[in-house]
Amino acid sequence: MQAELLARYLSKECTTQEYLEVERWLRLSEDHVEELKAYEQLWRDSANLVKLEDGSDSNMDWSVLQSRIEAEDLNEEMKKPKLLSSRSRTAYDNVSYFSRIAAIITLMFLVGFYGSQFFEQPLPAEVEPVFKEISMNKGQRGSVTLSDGTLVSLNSESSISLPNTFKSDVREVYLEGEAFFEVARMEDKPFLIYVNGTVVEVLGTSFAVRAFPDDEMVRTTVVEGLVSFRSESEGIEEGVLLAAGDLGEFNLKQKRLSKEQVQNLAPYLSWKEGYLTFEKATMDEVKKQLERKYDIQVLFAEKDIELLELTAELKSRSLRNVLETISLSLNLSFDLDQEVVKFKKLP
Amino acid sequence: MALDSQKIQIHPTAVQTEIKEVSLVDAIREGDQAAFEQLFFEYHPALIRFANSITRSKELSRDTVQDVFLKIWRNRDQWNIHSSLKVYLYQSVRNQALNLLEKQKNRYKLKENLHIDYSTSMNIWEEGFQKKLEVPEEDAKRIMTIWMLVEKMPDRRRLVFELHRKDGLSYKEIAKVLDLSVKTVENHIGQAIKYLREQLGQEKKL
Repeated sequence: MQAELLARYLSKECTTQEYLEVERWLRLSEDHVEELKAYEQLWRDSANLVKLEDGSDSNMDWSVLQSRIEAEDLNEEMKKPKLLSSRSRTAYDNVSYFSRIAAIITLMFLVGFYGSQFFEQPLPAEVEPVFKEISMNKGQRGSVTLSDGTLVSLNSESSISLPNTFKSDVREVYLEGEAFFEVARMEDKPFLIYVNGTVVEVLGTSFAVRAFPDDEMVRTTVVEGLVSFRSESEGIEEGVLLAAGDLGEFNLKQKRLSKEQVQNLAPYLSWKEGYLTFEKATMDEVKKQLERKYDIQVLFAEKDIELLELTAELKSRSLRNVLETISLSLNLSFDLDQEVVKFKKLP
Repeated sequence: MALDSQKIQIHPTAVQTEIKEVSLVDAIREGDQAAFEQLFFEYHPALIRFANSITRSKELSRDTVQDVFLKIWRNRDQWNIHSSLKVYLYQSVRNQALNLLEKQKNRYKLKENLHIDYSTSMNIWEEGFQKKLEVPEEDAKRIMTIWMLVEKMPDRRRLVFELHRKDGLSYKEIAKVLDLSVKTVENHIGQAIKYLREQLGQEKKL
């Protein structure tokens, strides 16, 4: 039996399901019952020390505190306008708080983020982390260096949220859409990406994650290092381990994880260099990516065009060139009017 | 955006303490000295223990807790608590303890101060130990062994385990106080009992 589960069971922090799991495990063998008894004893014993350390010098410390307060009150009396000291303190906190925001905004301009959004939660409580969100609209792309040195490239229509400062033991970010990560290596501080019900966990490596709202899969493609990929509800043992060249896919409908070796990583990564690469991609998928990258609308004159498969590297900067390449290789024609493209089958 | 899914358990007693805490905080904000005194005596022993566990120094832990209470009283009219009173107090103690430790380090550049030989302090304890606990000798030995083993754990694990077993904080509260994720807290407690179980099992065999 897993020690963590037993601990949760003993501290009454487990779910009903976990409770039943422990009960099932107990029924399996008499040894398990004995084992649990030993743990319960340990649990009771460990709660039994408090009495010993109680009754320290509370009385003495209280008198000391009293005299410190009195001394302070006297001081305050002498330099009358009393509230000022505490007020100026809050004012100072506010200044540092605002200058921090200003610093981040300046940084974003330097990196060249246009139209990126940035918001703070309304109440900066002492413990609750303050989240910031960085997002790209259609037709935009950008990258940002996080406080730990990790570089994140964001594709169009994608956003990441992260706390202003990472926790001391873990770096956690939330992703929507597609991003490429070059995670700064920190042995004792794993980097976790929460994306559409799955978790990608790494120590330091580079890889891409994709989960647009209309995607049926969450995809993780690893360029370098090792990555753990799993459903958010599962422990690390249930996930798959991805190495360089691996593509991990989590099917959101079937809740199924799979992994395969990929010969050519370009289709998963080239967006980062500013161009699209397709390998036997359906036109339905090509449409989505064109719309995202160029902020246009793509239409098909005949419905079955969406089933055609495209293999192409579309490096040209000009949208018209890109559309011509696609048309040429699939025997189509196209009309480009303002922001709307319509593909037609050639007779 | 999916955040940590955390199990929430509400104990009837927890609700009651919460109400009590809120009125205590309100009273102190109004300048009620008796309420402040009540707060002090209710939490002082536990906070001293916790501070001691971080600083490993009786002097520093007393200073730490003093400072925390002094600050509360000094800024009482703007005293706001975003989580629970308990979490607030433990958190403040931790922050202040780390502040004082840092200052002390800068002043004396003495790292040795932090490496006390626990086995000797444990022996001093042992004399009055059984009597104070009011338990049979055999039990006292077992309890003693547990806490000697806890002293050998890595610092963070030790703090997590102590906050849970000695102070009765929930996983979530511990996570907040020590600025960890709930997952890490779970992991530490799991590892702690596994370690204790293994070690205690061995002693029996010996």
